[in-house]
Amino acid sequence: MKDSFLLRLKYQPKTLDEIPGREEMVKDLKEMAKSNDIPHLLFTGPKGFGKLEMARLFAQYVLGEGYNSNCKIVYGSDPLTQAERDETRRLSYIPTSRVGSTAGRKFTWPAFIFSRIKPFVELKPISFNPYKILIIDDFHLLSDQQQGFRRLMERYSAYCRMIILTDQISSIIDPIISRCNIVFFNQIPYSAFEAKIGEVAKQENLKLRGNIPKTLYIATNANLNSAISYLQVGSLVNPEITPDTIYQITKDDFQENVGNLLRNALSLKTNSLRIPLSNIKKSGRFFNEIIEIMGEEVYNLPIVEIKKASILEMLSQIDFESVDARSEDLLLDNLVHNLIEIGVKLT
Amino acid sequence: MKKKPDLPWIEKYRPTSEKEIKGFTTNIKKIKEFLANFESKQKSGKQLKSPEKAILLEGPPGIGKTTVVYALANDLGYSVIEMNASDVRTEKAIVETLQESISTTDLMSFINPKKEHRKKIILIDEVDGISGQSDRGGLKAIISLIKISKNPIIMTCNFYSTKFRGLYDASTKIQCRSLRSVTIVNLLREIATKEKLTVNDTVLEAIAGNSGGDMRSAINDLQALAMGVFSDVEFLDLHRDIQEKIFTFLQAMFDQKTIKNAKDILSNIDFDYKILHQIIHANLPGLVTQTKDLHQVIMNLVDADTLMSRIMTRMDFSLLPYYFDLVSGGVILSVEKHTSDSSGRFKMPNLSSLQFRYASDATLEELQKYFYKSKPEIARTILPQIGEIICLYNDSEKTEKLDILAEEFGITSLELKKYLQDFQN
Repeated sequence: MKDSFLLRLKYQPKTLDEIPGREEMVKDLKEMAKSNDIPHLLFTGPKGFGKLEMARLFAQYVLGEGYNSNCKIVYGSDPLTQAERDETRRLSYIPTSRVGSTAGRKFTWPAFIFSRIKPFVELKPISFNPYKILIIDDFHLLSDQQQGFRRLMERYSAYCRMIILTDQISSIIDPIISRCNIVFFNQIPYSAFEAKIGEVAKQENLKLRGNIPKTLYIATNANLNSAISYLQVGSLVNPEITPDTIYQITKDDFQENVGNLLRNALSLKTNSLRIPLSNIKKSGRFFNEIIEIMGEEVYNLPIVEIKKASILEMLSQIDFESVDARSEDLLLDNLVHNLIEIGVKLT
Repeated sequence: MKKKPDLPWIEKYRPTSEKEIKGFTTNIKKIKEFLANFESKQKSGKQLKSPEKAILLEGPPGIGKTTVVYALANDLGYSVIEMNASDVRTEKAIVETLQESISTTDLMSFINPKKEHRKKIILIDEVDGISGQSDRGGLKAIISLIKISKNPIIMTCNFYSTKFRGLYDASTKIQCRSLRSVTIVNLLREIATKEKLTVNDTVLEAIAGNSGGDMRSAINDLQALAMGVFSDVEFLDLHRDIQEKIFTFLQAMFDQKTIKNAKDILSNIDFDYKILHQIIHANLPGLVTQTKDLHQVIMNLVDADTLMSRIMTRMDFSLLPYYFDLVSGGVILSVEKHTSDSSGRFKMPNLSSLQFRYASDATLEELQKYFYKSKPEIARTILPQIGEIICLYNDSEKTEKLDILAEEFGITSLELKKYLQDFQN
């Protein structure tokens, strides 16, 4: 196969052994696969720590040649298309022309399970594989549809194993957790990260100045794929990559927008809130990222220290409440109103 | 409005004569022809073949198949011997019951001496209810009964099934369609006048539309309505144009002064209750203008959101009443003054809150095979990265690189180009 033009894809691990910094976990998983009967698995760890990569390559290792036909990756955060919704609605009515006690009745199926999961798990595995593997990314986003998986996992466990990926294990219901073996993901060690970056730089003849691996390690939160992507961008910006180049390309206006939002809300400039707000919504960042950056911005505000403390206290309260909440638009509105309230007290 | 009926209306208003039956005209004609044919041939002493001795009425439930048979029998002076799904219908039982009834005379003939011998119809209701296991040999018995019977046999069933193949050969099939909603509305209106109900036509239409051609369920619905199972007839209106009406409902909720009243109004909105707080949030700008009020409302809605998410993850529905309290009472009590701007339009909340702005769904799906990320994430992180890399080349190289990428991902370079133009802007 031809090497990809994008370095990110070119240096993507192709087998389980190529994943850097996870030797222990790979050894354990391989041991599990030896028995030829893997349990349901639950991978948990922050975003960008390579859960899906591990799950995918593990499935490839277990299924071998049958990987293409017997493995499916489902993304919990993919919104349902109109076609899928319509199909579910159409099939939920059993026509009177059909024979049986259910004829003429209406059922409300959970659309996600009905359109994406059921067609896959209901069929037996193709070729010589003893079971299929279903990988579900962002499982926590399924919220109330999680209940549907309790039956699915038991009923089809004879020939379908599931690998569930999540970065919020607290939002996953207990019955699912009890059915799975849990695997925790940590940051990959710096040594492995450094070695991989060095290898890429050597292969691609990139000139690195200064401690580039360390800078990337911090900037990308130990995410190798995006680090390699930044290397490619950096090499095009500047033939010699320096830490400054990395800072330049990893910076975006998200932080600036959050800062503007904070300052404008506190100084009660309600008319100039709309632009930073719509920019933040457009960026598609998660709510806890907004809180995190806002917490950093509070230190730079030109106000008395005791007032800063009250803002931080409010932020921590909102962050705590947001663990269970679902509607991010609502949370953002609440945050802005809380800031305005504090702003009123300040003046 | 409230009234305690003594009989279920479905029994009370069951037609007893052909004239009272709504719809069904062609089928009635067919049944009458069949009965006349049977009688004339029997009188002239001709041998009748199996299909001329029995008919099978096939059609969805609740359209009045059984009723038609009884009404016709009443008009034409037949007595009906019925065997329905509640009877045991094994071979032995059928032969015993029906053969006996064929040979004995009707008791009514003693009371009513004008007709010395009353004619009989044998009605076998719900043939498809004859099951293979408990009613062993039932179908076989019916077929052989048709052969020897001296009386017309009428059978009803709901659906075609291959196990009736023998029956089909031995009988004439009459297909009954489900009733048109106009017919049902007319009938409901008649019943409503008789019961002295004041119901407007839109409600009747809603009931008829809901029933899907099933007269029985429509009448039952109307009775439930009259008995006060639904709190007010008008609320059935909500089945139609829900989105237009929901805004008026929200305004009505804000008009209330007590938590109880507000909650009552909310519970009558026929909508997915899981997203009620999001609906209110999306429509707040048209209802509340004071910043201070807005903050209070939003705080309540956030609490409701958290509560709903807990209910859903733990399946703890005992918390649901508190959710409704928060969404109704919590919201109205935190507002001092609300606007009643009737020009406001209903807005649906943005439930996915993830927007793919530049790339089409097909492109994202194609890219998903290479990057193994969800579609929103590809749109958010991967595509800008690709765009950045392409933009760093000079113009002559750009098209070349674009072609390479397009070939690699199996999508048209036009699509990528379009995306890049958006990106540069």
